[in-house]
Amino acid sequence: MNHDLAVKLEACEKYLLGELSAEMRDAFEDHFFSCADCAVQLRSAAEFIGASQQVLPYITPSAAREREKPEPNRWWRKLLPVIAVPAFAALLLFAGYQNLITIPQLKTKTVTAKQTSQVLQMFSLISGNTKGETVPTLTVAPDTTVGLYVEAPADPEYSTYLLRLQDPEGNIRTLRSLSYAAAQKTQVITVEPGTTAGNYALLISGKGHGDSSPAVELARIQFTIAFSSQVKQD
Amino acid sequence: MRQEAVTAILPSTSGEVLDLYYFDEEYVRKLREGDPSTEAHFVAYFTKLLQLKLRARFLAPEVVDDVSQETFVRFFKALRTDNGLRQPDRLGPFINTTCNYVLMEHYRSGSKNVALEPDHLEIPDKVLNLEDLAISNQTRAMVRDVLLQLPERDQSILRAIFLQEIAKEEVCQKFGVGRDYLRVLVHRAKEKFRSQMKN
Repeated sequence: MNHDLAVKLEACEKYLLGELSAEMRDAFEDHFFSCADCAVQLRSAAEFIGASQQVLPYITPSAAREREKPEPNRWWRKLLPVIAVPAFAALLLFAGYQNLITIPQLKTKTVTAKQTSQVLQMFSLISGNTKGETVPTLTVAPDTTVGLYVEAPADPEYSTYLLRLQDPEGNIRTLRSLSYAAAQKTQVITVEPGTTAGNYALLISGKGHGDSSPAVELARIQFTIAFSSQVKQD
Repeated sequence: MRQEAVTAILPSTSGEVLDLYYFDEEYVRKLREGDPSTEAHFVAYFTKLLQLKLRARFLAPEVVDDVSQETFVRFFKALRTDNGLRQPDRLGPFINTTCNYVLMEHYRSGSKNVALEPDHLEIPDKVLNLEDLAISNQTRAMVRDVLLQLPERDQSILRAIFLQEIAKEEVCQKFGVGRDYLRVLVHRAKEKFRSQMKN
């Protein structure tokens, strides 16, 4: 494969999207190991995809939605005098209620989502403690999101894997399900302990091939979340 | 055991400017002699490419590291033997071929569930998981800007294929787009990102 063919085939994007045949993949690899242009393109695209995978969970599409709103139909302007006065009066009442009652209540609630980029505190649970080793204590500030690196004990015997989180109160919620292929990769799990410190557990179960196969608990990774007011956030 | 936060989302190693060296006889000579700056450039440049190549085979992270290291070990061993590298301008493909041999040995030493002929393995039609690439905060901020400029539908499409690992055929059906649209979307977003990097 030469450079012109690689560009014509959109080989860079197809490579990262997993859309090249084995033969074309090998040919493109042989090419980008010798072509600086394609190597730079590939690295940029890989960085873009990698960063997108890190950033997308924290993006809400409000800004884009606003730009896409169609131009409003203005026929209703003729009805303004009839509608506007009582509507304005109602609005005043509503605004008064909001300012005197609702907003002060909202201010006391914890902010759980932030729009600005935030560095995530990451911890590794890759060594795990399923065999009775010491339970790690993760020291974080309250009301922060915690990132965990986790690896599932992937086994070809199981086709799907379920990751669940058990909190100190014993409540269990499902985080994600994985195929066997996905389970072989290091997982990044985000946990929001809020103000609940204590013993947590990551439960990983596997289900064999076939609908009637029972789920089997493969790992129980325990960790403790402790809060420190001295932990600084970026 | 008390564990402090290891780091933010990985320390900054991306965004560095790598000079584009010519892989010529002079470069190979310096490499053979162990010139530190040449060696550092060589390892930095090809480590990224090897990691992408190995990630494209959906290998576990530790296997990616092991195969990369073994590739470099064998390369330097070959480099320092007589006639070990006969064509300096084929330095890159030589690394690639060396990596292929190491990969072949890895597959053959694997479990009974791993096919002996890796070329016959079905290649999953899915995006590479690059979530744990070492990416600087600056790069993440630029990518965030690029993503926010995209229409909501395109953001949702990228979220579906990059994050949720939904099959691309399903994504195309859901959003009423073709496979070409996905590639063009990724290409344009990447170009915007590169343009921001240059600025």
